[in-house]
Amino acid sequence: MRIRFVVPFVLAVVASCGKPAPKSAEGGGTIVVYTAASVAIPIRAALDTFAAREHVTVDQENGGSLDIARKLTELHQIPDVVVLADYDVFPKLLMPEQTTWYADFARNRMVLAFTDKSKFASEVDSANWPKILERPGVQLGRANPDLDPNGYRTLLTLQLAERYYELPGLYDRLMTLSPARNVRPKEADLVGVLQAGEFDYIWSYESLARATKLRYITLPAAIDLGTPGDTDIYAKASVKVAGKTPRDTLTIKGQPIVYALSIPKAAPHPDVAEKFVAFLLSPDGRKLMRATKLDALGSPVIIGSGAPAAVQAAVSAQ
Amino acid sequence: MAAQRTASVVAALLGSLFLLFLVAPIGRLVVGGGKAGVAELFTDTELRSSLWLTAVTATLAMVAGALGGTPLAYLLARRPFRGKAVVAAVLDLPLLIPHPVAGIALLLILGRQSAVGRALLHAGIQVAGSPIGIICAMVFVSAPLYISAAREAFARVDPRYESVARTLGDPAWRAFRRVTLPLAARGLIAAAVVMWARAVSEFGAIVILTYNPKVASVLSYDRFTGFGLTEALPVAAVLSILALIPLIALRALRPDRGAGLDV
Amino acid sequence: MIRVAGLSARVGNFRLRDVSFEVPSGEYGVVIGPVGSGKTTLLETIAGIIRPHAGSVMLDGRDVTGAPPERRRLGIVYQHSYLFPHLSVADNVAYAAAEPAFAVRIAERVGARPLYDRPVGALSGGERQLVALARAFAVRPSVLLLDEPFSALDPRTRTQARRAVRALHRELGITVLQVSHDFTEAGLLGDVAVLLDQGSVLQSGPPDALFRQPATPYVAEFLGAENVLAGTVRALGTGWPDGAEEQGAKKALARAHRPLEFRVGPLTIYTVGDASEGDMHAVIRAEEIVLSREPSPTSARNHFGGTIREIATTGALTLVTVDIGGIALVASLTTRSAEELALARGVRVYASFKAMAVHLC
Repeated sequence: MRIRFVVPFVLAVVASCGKPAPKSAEGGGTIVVYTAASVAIPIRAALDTFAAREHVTVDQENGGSLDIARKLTELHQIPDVVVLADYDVFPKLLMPEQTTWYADFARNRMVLAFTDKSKFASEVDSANWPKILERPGVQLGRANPDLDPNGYRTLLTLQLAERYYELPGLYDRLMTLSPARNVRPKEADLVGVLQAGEFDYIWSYESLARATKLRYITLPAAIDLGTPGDTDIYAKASVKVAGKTPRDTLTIKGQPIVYALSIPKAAPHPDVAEKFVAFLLSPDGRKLMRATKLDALGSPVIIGSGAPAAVQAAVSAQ
Repeated sequence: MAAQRTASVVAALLGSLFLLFLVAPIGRLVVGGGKAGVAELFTDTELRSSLWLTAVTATLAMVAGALGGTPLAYLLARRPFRGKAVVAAVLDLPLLIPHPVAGIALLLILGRQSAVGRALLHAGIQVAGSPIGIICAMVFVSAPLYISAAREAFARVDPRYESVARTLGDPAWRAFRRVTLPLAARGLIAAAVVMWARAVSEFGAIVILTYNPKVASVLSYDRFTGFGLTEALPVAAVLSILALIPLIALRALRPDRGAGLDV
Repeated sequence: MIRVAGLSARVGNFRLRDVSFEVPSGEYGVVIGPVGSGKTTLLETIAGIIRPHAGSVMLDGRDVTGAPPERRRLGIVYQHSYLFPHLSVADNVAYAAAEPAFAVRIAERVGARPLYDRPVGALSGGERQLVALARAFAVRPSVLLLDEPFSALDPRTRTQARRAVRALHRELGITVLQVSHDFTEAGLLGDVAVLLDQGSVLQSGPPDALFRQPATPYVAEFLGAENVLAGTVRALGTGWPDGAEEQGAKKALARAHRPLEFRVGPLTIYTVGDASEGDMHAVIRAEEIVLSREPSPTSARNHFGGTIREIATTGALTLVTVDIGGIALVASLTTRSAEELALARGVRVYASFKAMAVHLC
């Protein structure tokens, strides 16, 4: 090959090598929020109100709670605020390297969602759902337990249901009803398929079912992972999901579904982040979230230490 | 003369940068995960079956797309008919639609709630959640690429060759088989390669229709979201390395039909 | 045989308007016309490649208007050979031949046999045309359509190809229709000539008739008549002034043609015809005009004196433009004769031509 072509190529290769530039702290006026998909809409509503008041630009990214955790730990993309659908991810993956505290601020519960097109939609209720699901031709969809907390929470709920209704073998039967074919990566991926009529029923969160205007039936409180105080009851169920690698397993015990957030240590705009979180945890913030169908906790709780002053103040002022 | 040298140096530089832009990311993948990936090929059954599934579905999708798309491409290249521009534009639409939307659209037409879907189920064919669904999604997003390129390949064959063959006694289909097809073969093969590659890379539409069993694109996404870079790189690297084989083989297929000659 | 009646077609900018003519079985037809007159469109419509929107095509007594090309038993050779690039020379010739041995024989006749070992892409334009001709003949068509097949050939190959085509046409009894923009070729080859302009047939018939009796001045000019004069015709009652009659005129007069007087400018030209009086054109071919230095009396009716305005020599042929009272007449003679007569600009000469050489249209 002629010199004329080789030299520029070599130059291009050399020029593009090198370490990635560190993320520099940008000036104020922006807030970057990574949110669990299941709580994206309520957070967006709060952000919009906050942004209009404080004249800041909003940069919101949605994803699975574990996706988000990986962005911080593996890709070193640090936002101002992290909002996850499972408080447990904080102690398991993000503390203490990324942050030293988190705040529980909302709760949710498992429901069985469906549409008018679903089979037996007119019959199903909170008591007879196990029987309805086992009728021939009913397609039941669920999320991937290895990727989405909603996935393993479904399994936990089913275990609790078997115990609660005293129907031995219910768990296995219901799992047979939602085989690998009926699994989708995340809860959000189930909704479209349900609406297209391919599934009759899906396991969802109450907030999401309400937000996407699906019909749903609630489950007994003892099995729906919805009461923050009932950890002992829920802990009776446990599932194995994939751990750090596909070959490891992690045992997860039943826990109430509590949403938590934090401000990472390396947040690019810590002052704006502090203001926003304080707003979110205030009565006004809670009203906004409830308006978007999220069950905001009347008394948020901070776990850990080192939370910024304004945040602590907002929580204490209950 | 000096201006010409400058121009060619600039062109070489730009070309190199662009080539680098396209090649470097994949190179980085292979460097980062190649060794682990090849090792995993022997241990990880999920990876092996995923790659095999991808190969089979993409190839079947390519065959289906070629069988269905070739007559359409020929018609578009040869026959003037009213509304041809509209048909051609409509055929480009599947390329435009965001992939998850395409998946939902296919579900609405082929799922168990649709007339077609019900009929298929009756015949024992399950679309959603099966390799059939994967193939449907692949064909939907990649066939328009094939049709567009195949149309060009046919258009480059002077219609007079076919006319001559017909006057020599060949009915239209035989003239197509003995003259047009061989002369367009190189272009058609290149088009099929593009279609196959597009099918292999599809994710958004496939995951709506069929998440399990997992094709390679879905598996690499799963590995990344579930376990991070260290688990995802090997899958991506192995996919890139293995895909090179059929790509090179197909591109090396240069039927010396003299289609470039003007005789 | 080829019979075309009322044929009208439209392809892009090319049109055929109500085209009708016939080439009898086993004869050689030539279609002449300027560029863009629709000659290729005509051939392709006869071949069935283009569908006409009116009219009919009959080949060998069969109405093939609705038939696809493969059922018309014809062959077509374009100006460009359109040899199939992916096949060898041998396979091209044998493409549709029922008998491979016949195909090889045809290739020999046409001069394409020596090319069998060469790849198609390595042939010259002329060689490709020979292969294309062989390929068309090998099918044993009853009709052969040729679209200026020799125009891109070098003179030697052109002669060879023309000869081969003529021979095969006679031996196999094929009806040929050839397009040409060269009217000399038409005169050499054709039994029937068809003059096509802007999609319409201006005149058809034996080439000689077109040349000697063009239907319109335009036809005459297109066919290369050097002298097309606009003037007035008057009948001459009983005969010419001095009573002398030409040989040929006797016969024409016997056919109820009348002696006529054609006035253009100061000239009065005598001719014979059945035209009625009025404004007309007179066509006189240059080779019919004889030049001499002396006013020697000949049997030619028309005899004028004038001055040479221009002389143009091309090889063995010389065209001399003579100014007669402001009217220009072009005469053609051999360069040798021109030299013997010592013709030059400004020289006074006498031009004579027979009354029969004058055609009115």
